[in-house]
Amino acid sequence: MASPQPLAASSSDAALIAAWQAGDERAATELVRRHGRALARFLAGGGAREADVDDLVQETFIRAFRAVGKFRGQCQFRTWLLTIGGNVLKDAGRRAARDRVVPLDEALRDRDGDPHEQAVAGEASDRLQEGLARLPRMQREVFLLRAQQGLAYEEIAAALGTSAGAARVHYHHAVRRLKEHLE
Amino acid sequence: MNEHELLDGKLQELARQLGARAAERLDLEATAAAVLRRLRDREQQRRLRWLQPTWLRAAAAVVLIAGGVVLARSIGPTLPAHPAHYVAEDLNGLSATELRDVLNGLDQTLQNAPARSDAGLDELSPEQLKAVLRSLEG
Repeated sequence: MASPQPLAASSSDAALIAAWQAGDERAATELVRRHGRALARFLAGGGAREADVDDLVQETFIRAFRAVGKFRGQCQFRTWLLTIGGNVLKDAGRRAARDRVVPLDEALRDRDGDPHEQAVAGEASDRLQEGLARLPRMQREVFLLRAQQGLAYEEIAAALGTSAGAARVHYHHAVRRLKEHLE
Repeated sequence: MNEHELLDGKLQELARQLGARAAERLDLEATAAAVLRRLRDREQQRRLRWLQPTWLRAAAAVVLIAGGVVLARSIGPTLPAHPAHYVAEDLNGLSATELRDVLNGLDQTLQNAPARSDAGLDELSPEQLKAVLRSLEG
Protein backbone atom coordinates (compact mmCIF):
# COMPACT_ATOMS: atom_id res chain seq x y z
CA MET A 1 0.00 0.00 0.00
CA ALA A 2 1.33 3.43 -0.96
CA SER A 3 2.05 5.76 1.95
CA PRO A 4 0.06 9.02 1.97
CA GLN A 5 1.67 12.20 0.67
CA PRO A 6 3.28 14.17 3.52
CA LEU A 7 1.52 17.41 4.43
CA ALA A 8 4.16 20.08 4.04
CA ALA A 9 3.73 23.55 5.46
CA SER A 10 4.22 24.75 1.88
CA SER A 11 1.11 22.90 0.66
CA SER A 12 -1.49 25.23 -0.81
CA ASP A 13 -4.71 25.91 1.06
CA ALA A 14 -6.58 24.09 -1.70
CA ALA A 15 -4.42 20.99 -1.22
CA LEU A 16 -4.96 21.12 2.55
CA ILE A 17 -8.71 21.52 2.11
CA ALA A 18 -8.78 18.51 -0.22
CA ALA A 19 -6.74 16.51 2.30
CA TRP A 20 -9.11 17.49 5.11
CA GLN A 21 -12.11 16.48 3.02
CA ALA A 22 -10.40 13.12 2.50
CA GLY A 23 -10.24 12.76 6.30
CA ASP A 24 -6.70 13.92 7.05
CA GLU A 25 -6.82 15.76 10.39
CA ARG A 26 -3.23 17.00 9.96
CA ALA A 27 -4.51 19.21 7.15
CA ALA A 28 -6.96 20.86 9.54
CA THR A 29 -4.17 21.42 12.05
CA GLU A 30 -2.03 23.06 9.38
CA LEU A 31 -4.89 25.34 8.31
CA VAL A 32 -5.37 26.43 11.94
CA ARG A 33 -1.63 27.13 12.25
CA ARG A 34 -1.68 29.11 9.04
CA HIS A 35 -4.76 31.28 9.58
CA GLY A 36 -5.48 31.17 13.31
CA ARG A 37 -3.66 34.37 14.25
CA ALA A 38 -5.12 36.44 11.41
CA LEU A 39 -8.55 35.22 12.45
CA ALA A 40 -7.87 36.11 16.09
CA ARG A 41 -6.83 39.64 15.08
CA PHE A 42 -9.95 40.01 12.95
CA LEU A 43 -12.23 38.83 15.76
CA ALA A 44 -10.55 41.01 18.37
CA GLY A 45 -10.66 43.95 15.97
CA GLY A 46 -14.35 43.27 15.42
CA GLY A 47 -15.00 43.64 19.12
CA ALA A 48 -14.53 40.19 20.64
CA ARG A 49 -13.43 40.19 24.27
CA GLU A 50 -9.89 38.95 24.55
CA ALA A 51 -10.98 36.18 26.90
CA ASP A 52 -13.42 34.93 24.24
CA VAL A 53 -11.11 35.05 21.23
CA ASP A 54 -9.79 31.50 21.58
CA ASP A 55 -13.29 30.05 21.78
CA LEU A 56 -14.49 32.16 18.85
CA VAL A 57 -11.49 31.09 16.76
CA GLN A 58 -12.31 27.46 17.50
CA GLU A 59 -15.97 27.94 16.65
CA THR A 60 -15.08 29.66 13.38
CA PHE A 61 -12.77 26.83 12.30
CA ILE A 62 -15.38 24.24 13.27
CA ARG A 63 -18.01 25.95 11.12
CA ALA A 64 -15.53 26.36 8.28
CA PHE A 65 -14.39 22.73 8.33
CA ARG A 66 -17.94 21.46 8.44
CA ALA A 67 -19.01 23.72 5.56
CA VAL A 68 -15.82 23.47 3.53
CA GLY A 69 -17.71 21.61 0.77
CA LYS A 70 -19.51 24.89 0.07
CA PHE A 71 -16.25 26.78 -0.45
CA ARG A 72 -15.92 27.21 -4.20
CA GLY A 73 -12.67 29.17 -4.27
CA GLN A 74 -14.44 32.43 -5.10
CA CYS A 75 -11.94 34.10 -2.77
CA GLN A 76 -8.98 33.02 -0.67
CA PHE A 77 -9.67 30.49 2.06
CA ARG A 78 -8.54 33.03 4.67
CA THR A 79 -11.00 35.65 3.42
CA TRP A 80 -13.80 33.09 3.47
CA LEU A 81 -12.75 32.09 6.99
CA LEU A 82 -12.82 35.71 8.16
CA THR A 83 -16.36 36.19 6.87
CA ILE A 84 -17.41 33.08 8.82
CA GLY A 85 -15.66 34.65 11.80
CA GLY A 86 -17.84 37.72 11.30
CA ASN A 87 -20.95 35.53 11.55
CA VAL A 88 -19.63 33.77 14.63
CA LEU A 89 -18.94 37.14 16.22
CA LYS A 90 -22.42 38.38 15.38
CA ASP A 91 -23.98 35.25 16.94
CA ALA A 92 -21.82 35.68 20.04
CA GLY A 93 -22.93 39.30 20.28
CA ARG A 94 -26.57 38.23 20.10
CA ARG A 95 -26.07 35.64 22.82
CA ALA A 96 -24.24 38.14 25.02
CA ALA A 97 -26.94 40.73 24.48
CA ARG A 98 -29.64 38.19 25.33
CA ASP A 99 -27.85 36.88 28.41
CA ARG A 100 -26.63 40.14 29.85
CA VAL A 101 -29.28 42.52 28.53
CA VAL A 102 -26.75 45.18 27.58
CA PRO A 103 -26.23 46.80 24.19
CA LEU A 104 -24.37 44.69 21.62
CA ASP A 105 -21.44 47.08 21.37
CA GLU A 106 -20.94 47.01 25.12
CA ALA A 107 -21.23 43.24 25.22
CA LEU A 108 -18.57 42.75 22.58
CA ARG A 109 -15.97 45.04 24.06
CA ASP A 110 -13.43 43.97 26.62
CA ARG A 111 -14.23 45.87 29.81
CA ASP A 112 -12.83 43.51 32.39
CA GLY A 113 -9.17 43.26 31.44
CA ASP A 114 -6.17 44.12 33.57
CA PRO A 115 -6.07 47.94 34.10
CA HIS A 116 -2.34 48.05 33.48
CA GLU A 117 -2.69 46.15 30.20
CA GLN A 118 -5.53 48.41 29.19
CA ALA A 119 -3.35 51.46 29.78
CA VAL A 120 -0.56 49.93 27.72
CA ALA A 121 -2.93 49.14 24.88
CA GLY A 122 -3.24 52.84 24.33
CA GLU A 123 -6.01 55.33 24.28
CA ALA A 124 -6.05 55.68 20.49
CA SER A 125 -6.48 51.96 20.02
CA ASP A 126 -9.33 51.94 22.52
CA ARG A 127 -10.98 54.83 20.74
CA LEU A 128 -10.66 53.06 17.40
CA GLN A 129 -12.22 49.98 18.95
CA GLU A 130 -15.08 52.11 20.25
CA GLY A 131 -15.55 53.66 16.86
CA LEU A 132 -15.56 50.27 15.14
CA ALA A 133 -18.17 48.97 17.55
CA ARG A 134 -20.47 51.81 16.49
CA LEU A 135 -20.18 51.08 12.77
CA PRO A 136 -22.73 49.02 10.88
CA ARG A 137 -21.50 45.45 10.53
CA MET A 138 -20.77 45.68 6.80
CA GLN A 139 -18.69 48.85 7.21
CA ARG A 140 -16.81 47.36 10.15
CA GLU A 141 -15.99 44.13 8.31
CA VAL A 142 -14.97 45.87 5.10
CA PHE A 143 -12.75 48.24 7.10
CA LEU A 144 -11.06 45.39 8.96
CA LEU A 145 -10.60 43.27 5.84
CA ARG A 146 -9.07 46.23 4.04
CA ALA A 147 -7.12 48.14 6.72
CA GLN A 148 -6.22 45.31 9.09
CA GLN A 149 -5.91 42.34 6.73
CA GLY A 150 -4.74 44.32 3.69
CA LEU A 151 -7.14 42.70 1.22
CA ALA A 152 -8.08 44.12 -2.18
CA TYR A 153 -11.61 45.41 -2.76
CA GLU A 154 -12.24 42.67 -5.32
CA GLU A 155 -11.33 40.01 -2.78
CA ILE A 156 -13.48 41.63 -0.09
CA ALA A 157 -16.38 41.92 -2.50
CA ALA A 158 -16.16 38.24 -3.50
CA ALA A 159 -16.15 37.15 0.13
CA LEU A 160 -19.02 39.38 1.22
CA GLY A 161 -21.13 38.82 -1.88
CA THR A 162 -21.08 42.43 -3.05
CA SER A 163 -19.35 44.49 -5.75
CA ALA A 164 -15.88 45.98 -5.48
CA GLY A 165 -17.42 49.43 -5.88
CA ALA A 166 -19.82 48.85 -3.01
CA ALA A 167 -16.97 47.54 -0.85
CA ARG A 168 -15.00 50.71 -1.61
CA VAL A 169 -17.98 52.87 -0.60
CA HIS A 170 -18.40 50.94 2.67
CA TYR A 171 -14.70 51.40 3.41
CA HIS A 172 -14.76 55.15 2.83
CA HIS A 173 -17.88 55.57 4.96
CA ALA A 174 -16.15 53.59 7.73
CA VAL A 175 -12.97 55.67 7.49
CA ARG A 176 -14.90 58.95 7.59
CA ARG A 177 -16.85 57.91 10.67
CA LEU A 178 -13.78 56.54 12.44
CA LYS A 179 -11.85 59.72 11.80
CA GLU A 180 -14.70 61.74 13.23
CA HIS A 181 -14.61 59.52 16.29
CA LEU A 182 -10.84 59.80 16.69
CA GLU A 183 -10.63 63.56 16.18
CA MET B 1 1.85 65.13 4.27
CA ASN B 2 -1.27 67.06 5.34
CA GLU B 3 -3.33 66.44 8.45
CA HIS B 4 -5.87 64.38 6.49
CA GLU B 5 -3.23 62.01 5.16
CA LEU B 6 -1.60 61.82 8.59
CA LEU B 7 -4.90 60.67 10.08
CA ASP B 8 -5.34 58.13 7.27
CA GLY B 9 -1.90 56.72 8.02
CA LYS B 10 -2.53 56.71 11.74
CA LEU B 11 -5.86 54.98 11.28
CA GLN B 12 -4.32 52.26 9.14
CA GLU B 13 -1.50 51.75 11.60
CA LEU B 14 -3.93 51.46 14.48
CA ALA B 15 -6.08 49.05 12.47
CA ARG B 16 -3.09 46.84 11.77
CA GLN B 17 -2.32 46.69 15.49
CA LEU B 18 -5.89 45.83 16.47
CA GLY B 19 -6.11 42.41 18.05
CA ALA B 20 -2.36 41.86 17.91
CA ARG B 21 -2.20 40.97 21.58
CA ALA B 22 -5.07 38.46 21.31
CA ALA B 23 -3.38 36.88 18.29
CA GLU B 24 -0.06 36.56 20.10
CA ARG B 25 -1.72 34.88 23.05
CA LEU B 26 -3.40 32.28 20.89
CA ASP B 27 -1.87 28.82 21.30
CA LEU B 28 -2.28 27.50 17.77
CA GLU B 29 -1.47 23.86 18.57
CA ALA B 30 -3.91 23.78 21.47
CA THR B 31 -6.54 25.55 19.36
CA ALA B 32 -6.12 23.05 16.51
CA ALA B 33 -6.40 20.12 18.94
CA ALA B 34 -9.52 21.63 20.51
CA VAL B 35 -11.08 22.20 17.10
CA LEU B 36 -10.53 18.58 16.09
CA ARG B 37 -11.84 17.29 19.41
CA ARG B 38 -14.98 19.44 19.18
CA LEU B 39 -15.52 18.35 15.59
CA ARG B 40 -15.34 14.69 16.62
CA ASP B 41 -17.70 15.32 19.55
CA ARG B 42 -20.24 17.08 17.35
CA GLU B 43 -20.07 14.30 14.77
CA GLN B 44 -20.70 11.75 17.50
CA GLN B 45 -23.63 13.78 18.84
CA ARG B 46 -25.02 14.14 15.33
CA ARG B 47 -24.87 10.36 14.83
CA LEU B 48 -26.55 9.74 18.19
CA ARG B 49 -29.30 12.23 17.36
CA TRP B 50 -29.80 10.49 14.03
CA LEU B 51 -29.74 6.98 15.50
CA GLN B 52 -32.16 7.71 18.34
CA PRO B 53 -35.19 8.59 16.22
CA THR B 54 -34.33 5.82 13.78
CA TRP B 55 -34.43 3.20 16.50
CA LEU B 56 -37.56 4.73 17.96
CA ARG B 57 -39.23 4.64 14.56
CA ALA B 58 -38.17 1.02 14.01
CA ALA B 59 -39.45 0.00 17.45
CA ALA B 60 -42.74 1.79 16.85
CA ALA B 61 -43.12 0.03 13.51
CA VAL B 62 -42.52 -3.39 15.11
CA VAL B 63 -45.10 -2.65 17.84
CA LEU B 64 -47.65 -1.50 15.26
CA ILE B 65 -47.15 -4.58 13.07
CA ALA B 66 -47.33 -6.98 16.04
CA GLY B 67 -50.41 -5.20 17.36
CA GLY B 68 -52.04 -5.34 13.94
CA VAL B 69 -51.44 -9.07 13.65
CA VAL B 70 -52.90 -9.75 17.13
CA LEU B 71 -55.90 -7.55 16.38
CA ALA B 72 -56.52 -9.22 13.02
CA ARG B 73 -56.44 -12.63 14.65
CA SER B 74 -58.82 -11.64 17.42
CA ILE B 75 -61.50 -10.01 15.24
CA GLY B 76 -61.10 -12.00 12.02
CA PRO B 77 -63.74 -14.61 10.85
CA THR B 78 -63.33 -18.01 12.47
CA LEU B 79 -63.22 -20.55 9.60
CA PRO B 80 -64.95 -23.87 10.20
CA ALA B 81 -62.61 -26.76 10.33
CA HIS B 82 -62.74 -29.15 7.35
CA PRO B 83 -64.99 -32.19 8.03
CA ALA B 84 -62.11 -34.48 7.21
CA HIS B 85 -60.33 -33.14 10.28
CA TYR B 86 -63.13 -34.32 12.52
CA VAL B 87 -63.16 -37.76 10.83
CA ALA B 88 -59.41 -38.03 11.22
CA GLU B 89 -59.61 -36.99 14.88
CA ASP B 90 -62.44 -39.49 15.51
CA LEU B 91 -60.51 -42.34 13.94
CA ASN B 92 -57.32 -41.58 15.83
CA GLY B 93 -58.28 -43.48 18.93
CA LEU B 94 -59.53 -46.65 17.14
CA SER B 95 -57.72 -49.98 17.12
CA ALA B 96 -57.02 -51.91 13.90
CA THR B 97 -60.04 -54.18 14.47
CA GLU B 98 -62.34 -51.25 15.09
CA LEU B 99 -61.08 -49.52 11.96
CA ARG B 100 -61.77 -52.67 9.93
CA ASP B 101 -65.33 -52.73 11.29
CA VAL B 102 -65.82 -49.10 10.32
CA LEU B 103 -64.60 -49.80 6.77
CA ASN B 104 -66.89 -52.82 6.46
CA GLY B 105 -69.80 -50.73 7.65
CA LEU B 106 -69.00 -48.14 5.01
CA ASP B 107 -68.88 -50.84 2.29
CA GLN B 108 -72.27 -52.14 3.31
CA THR B 109 -73.74 -48.67 3.33
CA LEU B 110 -72.43 -48.01 -0.17
CA GLN B 111 -73.71 -51.36 -1.46
CA ASN B 112 -77.17 -50.82 -0.02
CA ALA B 113 -77.42 -47.31 -1.41
CA PRO B 114 -79.30 -47.17 -4.78
CA ALA B 115 -77.34 -46.14 -7.84
CA ARG B 116 -77.93 -42.51 -8.61
CA SER B 117 -78.72 -43.20 -12.30
CA ASP B 118 -81.40 -45.68 -11.34
CA ALA B 119 -83.13 -43.36 -9.00
CA GLY B 120 -86.53 -42.39 -10.24
CA LEU B 121 -86.97 -45.09 -12.98
CA ASP B 122 -87.91 -47.76 -10.42
CA GLU B 123 -90.99 -45.87 -9.52
CA LEU B 124 -92.27 -45.62 -13.14
CA SER B 125 -95.04 -47.92 -14.44
CA PRO B 126 -94.49 -49.97 -17.63
CA GLU B 127 -96.55 -47.51 -19.61
CA GLN B 128 -94.54 -44.58 -18.33
CA LEU B 129 -91.29 -46.39 -19.14
CA LYS B 130 -92.47 -47.05 -22.67
CA ALA B 131 -93.32 -43.38 -23.08
CA VAL B 132 -89.85 -42.39 -21.89
CA LEU B 133 -88.21 -44.82 -24.32
CA ARG B 134 -90.31 -43.49 -27.18
CA SER B 135 -89.35 -39.93 -26.38
CA LEU B 136 -85.68 -40.94 -26.35
CA GLU B 137 -86.03 -42.64 -29.76
CA GLY B 138 -87.41 -39.43 -31.07
